[in-house]
Amino acid sequence: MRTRIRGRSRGLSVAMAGALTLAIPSAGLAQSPAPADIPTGGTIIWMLPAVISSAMPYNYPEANNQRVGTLVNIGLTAVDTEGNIVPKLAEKVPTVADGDVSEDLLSVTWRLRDGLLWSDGTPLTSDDLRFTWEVCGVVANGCRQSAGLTDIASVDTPDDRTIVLHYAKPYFDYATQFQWGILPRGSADVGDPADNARWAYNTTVNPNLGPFSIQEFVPNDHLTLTRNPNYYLAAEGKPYLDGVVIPLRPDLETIRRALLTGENDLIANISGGQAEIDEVANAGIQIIGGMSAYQNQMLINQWDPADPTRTTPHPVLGDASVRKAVVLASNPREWMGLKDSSYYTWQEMPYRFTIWGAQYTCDIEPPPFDPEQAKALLDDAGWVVGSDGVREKDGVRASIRVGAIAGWNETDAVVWASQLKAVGIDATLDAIDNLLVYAGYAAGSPLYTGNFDLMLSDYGRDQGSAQADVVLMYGSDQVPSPSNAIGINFTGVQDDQVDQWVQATATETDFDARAGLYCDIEKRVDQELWTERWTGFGPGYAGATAKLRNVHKNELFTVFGYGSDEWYLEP
Amino acid sequence: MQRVILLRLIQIGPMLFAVSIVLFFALQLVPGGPTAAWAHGATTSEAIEAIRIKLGLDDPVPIQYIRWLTAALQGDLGYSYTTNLPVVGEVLRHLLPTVLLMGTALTIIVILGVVLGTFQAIRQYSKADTFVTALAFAGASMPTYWVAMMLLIINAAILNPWTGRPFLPSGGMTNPRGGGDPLDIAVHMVLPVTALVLGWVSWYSRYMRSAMLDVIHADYVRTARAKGLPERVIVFKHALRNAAMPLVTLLALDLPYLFAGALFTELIFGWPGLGYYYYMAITQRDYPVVMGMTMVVAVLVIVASLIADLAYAWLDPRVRYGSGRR
Repeated sequence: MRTRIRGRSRGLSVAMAGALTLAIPSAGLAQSPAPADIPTGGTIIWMLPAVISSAMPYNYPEANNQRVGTLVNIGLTAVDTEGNIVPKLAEKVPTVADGDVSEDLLSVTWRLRDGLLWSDGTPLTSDDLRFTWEVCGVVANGCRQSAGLTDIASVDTPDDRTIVLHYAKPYFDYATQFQWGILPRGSADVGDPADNARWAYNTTVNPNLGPFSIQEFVPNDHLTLTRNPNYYLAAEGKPYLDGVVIPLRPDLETIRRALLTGENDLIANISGGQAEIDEVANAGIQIIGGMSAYQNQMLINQWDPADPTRTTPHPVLGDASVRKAVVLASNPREWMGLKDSSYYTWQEMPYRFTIWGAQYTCDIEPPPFDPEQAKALLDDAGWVVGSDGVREKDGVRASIRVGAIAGWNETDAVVWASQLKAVGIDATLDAIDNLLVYAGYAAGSPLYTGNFDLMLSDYGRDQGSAQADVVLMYGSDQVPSPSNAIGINFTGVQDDQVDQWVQATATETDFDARAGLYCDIEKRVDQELWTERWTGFGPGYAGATAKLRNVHKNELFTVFGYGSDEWYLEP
Repeated sequence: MQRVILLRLIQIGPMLFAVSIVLFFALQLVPGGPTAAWAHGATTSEAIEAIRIKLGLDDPVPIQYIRWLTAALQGDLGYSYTTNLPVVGEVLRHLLPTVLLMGTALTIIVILGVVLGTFQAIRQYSKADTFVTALAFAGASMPTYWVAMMLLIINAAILNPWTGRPFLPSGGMTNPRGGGDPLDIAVHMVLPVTALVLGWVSWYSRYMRSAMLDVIHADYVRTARAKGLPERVIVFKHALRNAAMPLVTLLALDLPYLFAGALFTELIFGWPGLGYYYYMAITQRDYPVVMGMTMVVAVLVIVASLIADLAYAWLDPRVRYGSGRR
């Protein structure tokens, strides 16, 4: 689940980009020189803090693998740093208006650009797209990223450049189908689709289509990427760099230090707080601030944590007044990850559905931070302050756990807990193993089994879709259980009105109408049922050596590494 | 002696069997399991189940164990869940950097420990002894990971005036911009080896000082002095050999580190050794690697303790195993 988010108001995004440019004149957002003036050549070092085990575009185990994959893979379209869907290997983005997409959204025709080649010089054909579907369109094959592909019932390839996808049900995000990449049927490194997890291709990605090709891959040590001579924009001189060496270092601080000492040229996320970021800036290194990929989310469990069926109300949070009080008593701006800095100005997130940016952004006012109103609500609901400052009602103490992801947002959760204590709710930190948080029902994940009170979650962009989000997060039939391990209705929303709207979205092919339904659902869940609160995207800070230009960071829309074909080194 | 060695070798089998059972079943208790790392919650239940079947995790745990044991007895420790490479190959690939790092560090530690401990013993209560003792306590009080971080910070602060960069690389085993020759590797070893030496040498020097003090006040040393032997001969020929006994124990206990790696040091300096690999495997729930690595370390611990016992016998002729008499 902790995959990334994309989408938000384009207007806000542009405003933020402007603010960033003002704040950081030397950052990568500065205007680029004309292509003719861009120096080419050079190799950069980009240290990453992870086990990179697969750069296969449909088997990224986590974000850093995907960052590497972004350098070696490219798909039919991409979402750019402004949130626009732009064609890459496709001639254009198919639309209903052009006739490439049927009115019922069940048929989508894609056409490849002319003359596309794999890195080994063999032609890219529509049969490779078919092969990609054959591999990842089968659920049992276990591809990690297969949204939409599994909804395709059949494909036609009338010629080498054209493929027609026939969906079994509308896939609203068809415009980004195959955005992560294409698999080569003719590669010696691929094999049985059912065994794709063990393909040699996962680490060789040979041949590939992205700007760089993997020359060497030493697990747990490093990758060496070199320019792909057959990149589709090679005629424009892209990529501008000759190569990227990616040493793998497990410790973020080590990577930050290496940036300071000149051993490293690029870091996707600077570790530490303001002092560490200032230290990097003072060393003459560009700070590239932008929205991180993660949207913070307060989850409020209305059901008894001991009851995984979500039928017994929570002794404290089962009371809607308490849930509303929790929201009103919470001030996300005080949380460390959301504070302003000199490199980034945090803004309250307008209510969303984020996935495709402006189309799905809801005009809903965030709830105010009003501890006095929270206290009054609790008083009115009969929660009386005891001698130790903790409220009680009918012998039940208002004592709850604030769940957080260990090593990720515990500090934020501690601040949140202190805010709740101020209104008489005894809240204590419950740090949860980061792998366990989203590990699924069978693995005993607290979110899936409902064994939590409050949870400071971070919801990331899935390779799924807004529609999938809505259905899986709010449908009453999507409460995780042994028989439904894919549902992510963690707070156990079981509301007839919400269900009606969710069902309506499944057949609503009009984007505006569907966006309206999404917002209705969001408003109901967040400000009437009070079972969650979206708080906004935390900032993220990349760092790049002063000579490395054109590096952008907006992981709300794109994976860091997007646009690497335009990175260049100043002499 | 041969009988003792044979007996100890025979004991290795049951001990490893017991270790493997405890470890294998203990791993099953870890929340999440391997599919947690695989799925990150984003994959459908069908896909997760498909992965479980592919990995053989749908079988009962005893069956999984028997399958693992059967393969392990044939030298096959399975495939890493994260890299899909054979565990044996991965362990061997990470072994060399660890042996290089830890071998160098241990060699320096032993030499420095012996020299400092001996020097302190023969200059007992001198200012130099007091000074070195203070340093030793300071060294022993500093956790290696803290020393490592301090070294990184100090290294970053002291810049080469010609390049504007630190004199030493902050991590890795080779220069990613092109390196890998012995000098490059040696330069990359300076900081991690220093961190290890500063943390460990105090223990060795203290043991050595204590042992040497015992020995140089022993009757046979007094006799040697009375015979007019030069002090150098007394110390290095007669006293040192006997005083080295506790050091052998210490070294034998530390030998597994030679192979298992100093986890924090390798992590902080990005040294691609076994400690680093082990940490990654644990955090990724990569059970085949965790099992394989632990078994390799278990073998080494047992072998190291056997070597220590044999070394005792070699160093001290009074020690005779298995005879029932001294």
